[in-house]
Amino acid sequence: MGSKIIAEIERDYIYDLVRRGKREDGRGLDDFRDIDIKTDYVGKAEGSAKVKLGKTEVVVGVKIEPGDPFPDTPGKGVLISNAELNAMASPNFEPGPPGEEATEIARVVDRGLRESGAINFEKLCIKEGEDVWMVFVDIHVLNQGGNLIDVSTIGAVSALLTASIPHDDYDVEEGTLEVDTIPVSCTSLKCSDEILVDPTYIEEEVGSTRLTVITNSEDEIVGIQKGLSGTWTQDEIMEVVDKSIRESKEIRKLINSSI
Amino acid sequence: MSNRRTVIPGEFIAEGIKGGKNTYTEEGKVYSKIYGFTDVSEDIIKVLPNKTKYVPKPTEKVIGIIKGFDFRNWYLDINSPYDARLPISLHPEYIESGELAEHLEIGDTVIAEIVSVGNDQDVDVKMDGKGLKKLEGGKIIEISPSKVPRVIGKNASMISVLKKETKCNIYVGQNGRVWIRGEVDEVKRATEAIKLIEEKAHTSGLTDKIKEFLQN
Amino acid sequence: MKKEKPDSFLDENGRRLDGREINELRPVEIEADVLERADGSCHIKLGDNKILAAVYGPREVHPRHLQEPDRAIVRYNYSMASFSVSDRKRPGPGRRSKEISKVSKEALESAIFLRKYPKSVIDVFIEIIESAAGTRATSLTAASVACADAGIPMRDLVASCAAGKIDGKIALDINELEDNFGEADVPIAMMPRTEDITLLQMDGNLTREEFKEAVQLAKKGCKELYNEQKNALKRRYER
Repeated sequence: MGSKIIAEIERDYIYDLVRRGKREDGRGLDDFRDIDIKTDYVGKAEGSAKVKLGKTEVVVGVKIEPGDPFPDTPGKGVLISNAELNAMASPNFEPGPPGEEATEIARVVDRGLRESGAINFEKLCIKEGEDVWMVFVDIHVLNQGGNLIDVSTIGAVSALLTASIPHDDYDVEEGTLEVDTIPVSCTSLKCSDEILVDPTYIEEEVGSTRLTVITNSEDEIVGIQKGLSGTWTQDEIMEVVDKSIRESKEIRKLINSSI
Repeated sequence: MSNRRTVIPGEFIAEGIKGGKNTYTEEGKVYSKIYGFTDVSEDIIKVLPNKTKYVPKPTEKVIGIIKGFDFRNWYLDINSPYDARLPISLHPEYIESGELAEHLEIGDTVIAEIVSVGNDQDVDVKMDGKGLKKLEGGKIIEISPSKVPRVIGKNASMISVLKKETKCNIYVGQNGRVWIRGEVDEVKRATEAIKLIEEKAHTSGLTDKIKEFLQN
Repeated sequence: MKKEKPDSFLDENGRRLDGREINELRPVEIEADVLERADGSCHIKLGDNKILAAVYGPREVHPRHLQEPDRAIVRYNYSMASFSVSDRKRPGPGRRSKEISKVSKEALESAIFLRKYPKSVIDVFIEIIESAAGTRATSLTAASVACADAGIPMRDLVASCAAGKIDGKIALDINELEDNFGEADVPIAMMPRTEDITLLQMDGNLTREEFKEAVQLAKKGCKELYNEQKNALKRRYER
């Protein structure tokens, strides 16, 4: 599907605004859009969240089922994260299996969940070597308004925080889902030599390069992903890291108050 | 502009009157084909769409974005299910085959006029004509093509208000693309006003409302 | 994880296990124009079903060879989220999704004035966020609202509903339990003004009379859904 062409005029207009510290929707360079989180959105899922970040919209469902552990970790549960960019979300998306963009989102969110120590995998064990709880996190993007990584992380974390193991459905008493820390990602975009936070889809099209920093509740960095082509200097990277720690604190507060 | 009624596809509108644009007639009864607003005049009833895609018609002037070119033609995105072709012969300057990029590049925005639409939906546009040119600076917004007449207004009344109150250059393409150039804050106000016109297109007294909106 | 079959689906007053009458639809909520980037969209809740429909088009066809010279083509993509069902569904279109996509596309095509936009495509995307029986009918009901929202010219909306058979009686809009252990399922779709039927399938075991009754009942359900569709579109301008 041919990607829609961005007019040079549009690109210049956004650059001009950004150089004045403004953005098309009136935000400052360091402002996140409004975030709306609804948990327990899908009755059939063990955990779920519908999240809006500005106009970007995602539904994340958590399904928990018993299954086989990986051979090298017989006493640990399993986390599998998956993302789908539904073709309804953008004129540029096509139906089909997850492409590189969807895969990247899933893997970055997964990294945040895993490396932050958010999930206690030992507590997900039912019987060592035989049965463990498998936690599936499925991210469905419904509207691509920009910044899919951050909205997906918020959704995944909110869904996990409100999820519970379906002991009764399987007649199994063992295992608990403990989420010990709240990983939050913050994505920045370099645009006309300025750095903006939480880009919209148009900003993403005209920006040069992206940087996502994931932190946990202790403000430790647990994941980083550079996206798009373009380059960052070391000073810019540290600036982004500091911004991310600050913004993520606010988002974490919001997640806590929404669940 | 009396009593615009919201109608949906298949909804009965009237009987014993001629059905115009976006209606169909069965056994003398006129039904709407689309989701929109009725427009009743003495002898004919039309339905104005809420949202619609632009279908190119000869002589209409549109704002197009260059999306590609070959040796002899540029190809434009004209905000339509159909792309347009601009042959070098219909460009005002003398251009040699293969030298197209020196005149118009991918991403350039132009005002072009629809010359012909073939039976196979092939759309040709020209740029050699009055008011047809490459646009520089400013910004582009997109509205539903069905709202273009409201943004221009009867005898250009609405667009005059917009230009006067914001001191911006504004050009409205028939394909729903609007070009605005001026002071940063004024461009923003003009954008908001146009979005408001789009949302309230079915109401009356809109020109006054917009004037009021811009004067505050 | 199978639930057990109830002893009976109807109580001594003829009411169903969820409190409904035999000819009653589950509670329904429809909202139009809910997604920013799609040309048209619709969110529908019917019982525990939560479904999103989005339309792009008419737009350019890719790959080109699929285009028709004299009309638009319709593509319908029905997809269930992994978490939409009790036992997690593996991602990807299975055969069931493909069949549903085909019959639904055909149901919508009958209503659309395709010749107005030759060489183009109308893409319909359905995402089942939560599934609770009757998803194909509910999706189609939402899809037609999304098409109208996108400005696509149609003869009429398309409303879709299913009837089934429980405890030997024909019932409207069967829910999950009724679907799992019921004796028949008859989804239909129709254009409400003329009552022309654009989708019809049947699964189970019915006598000729029972089948006729099922179709009548499903048509009644479609008419009720049509009112909700109409209200959703008309309400959009009061937001």
